[in-house]
Amino acid sequence: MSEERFQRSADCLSDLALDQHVAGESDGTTLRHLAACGACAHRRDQLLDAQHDFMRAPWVQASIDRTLPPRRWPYALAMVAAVAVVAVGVSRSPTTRTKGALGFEIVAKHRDGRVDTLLPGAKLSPGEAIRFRLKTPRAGYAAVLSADAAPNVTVYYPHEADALRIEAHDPLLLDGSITLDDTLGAERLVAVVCDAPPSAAKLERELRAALDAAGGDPARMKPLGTDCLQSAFLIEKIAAP
Amino acid sequence: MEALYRAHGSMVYRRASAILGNEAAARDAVQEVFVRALRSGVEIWDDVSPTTWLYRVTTNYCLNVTRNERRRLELLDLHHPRREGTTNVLEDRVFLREVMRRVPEDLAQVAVYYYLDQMKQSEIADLLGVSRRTIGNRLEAFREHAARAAEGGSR
Repeated sequence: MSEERFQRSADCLSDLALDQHVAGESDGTTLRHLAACGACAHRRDQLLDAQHDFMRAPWVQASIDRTLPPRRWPYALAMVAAVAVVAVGVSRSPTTRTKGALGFEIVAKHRDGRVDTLLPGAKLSPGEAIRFRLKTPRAGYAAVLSADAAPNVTVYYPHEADALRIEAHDPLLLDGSITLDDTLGAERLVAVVCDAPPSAAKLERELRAALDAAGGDPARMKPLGTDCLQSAFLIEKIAAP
Repeated sequence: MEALYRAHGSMVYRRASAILGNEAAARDAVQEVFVRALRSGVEIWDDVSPTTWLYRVTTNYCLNVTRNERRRLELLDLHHPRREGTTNVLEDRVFLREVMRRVPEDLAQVAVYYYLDQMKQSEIADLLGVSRRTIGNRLEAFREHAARAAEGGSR
């Protein structure tokens, strides 16, 4: 950890904004700024490098092991994990920043019949089913998409051309479930809430572009270049035991 | 747990190092922050981003550590008996940390976000849920404490 300070101009993004970006909590304003500001893009790269180096430090794994909860903690762990996939709201302009975040929760029904709320990085197998629950700080129209390791992109919701309306602060459990296919590896699930009914084709193109930019690896994808609220959740599909 | 460390661990470590100025203490902070996060049983639909939430937890934890340390150490006068002005000395992290040990917690929090994280006042206001004017007032109060400390008069 260096004590060196990053000297930014008044127009530059704070580390908070960049940390949110690196953690996958998308902000359309942040994306546009990064595309135009070399200093902030450089700082973003520094944070990404630090994130990569951090997990390779010998003391980190020991710390993870010591932090693992005892059996009485699974409920609290699920709560924290659920919060950990909530992403920051996206502003339509720098002066109309939306406070709050798009909550994106995934519930899985496993092959053995267990039903639980997923943790980030959860391992699932083909044939298991997932459902989505959203909560948004502002009303709009929702969509849920997927990018997998095939690499394919899929729009799960809305079905066909139906608009999926969601009201502010009113949790919405989406109808039906998704049965996971046979594609193994990382899969990124992305939820968006837009002011107007989103074009599924346009969202699919944006997801495809993000997946292509990540070299086809869903784990390395950056947020979509959209002004909609968005939140992402990474799962890993493994062969059934 | 590994996914949480992977997504947020380096951020918590970087900020803890900046606030505490001690690598070993920062490592302890990483573990403590995640343990506290797990124990807190936070509301599942809290409308905050996880990064924002962890910023708060890390700041509060580290400030508590520095305050406990202050009870054992009276470093300010020892190391910084004289300072000239507050603009430059507040870029001195050692001095900054020492002042933060001595001021009320609400001032120390704002100082962390403004001087160490270099956040805008509006961002700090959003994060703490107070007005921007309140942030400005707290920063001014912090600078006054720093000025007194720089003159060697802060006790």
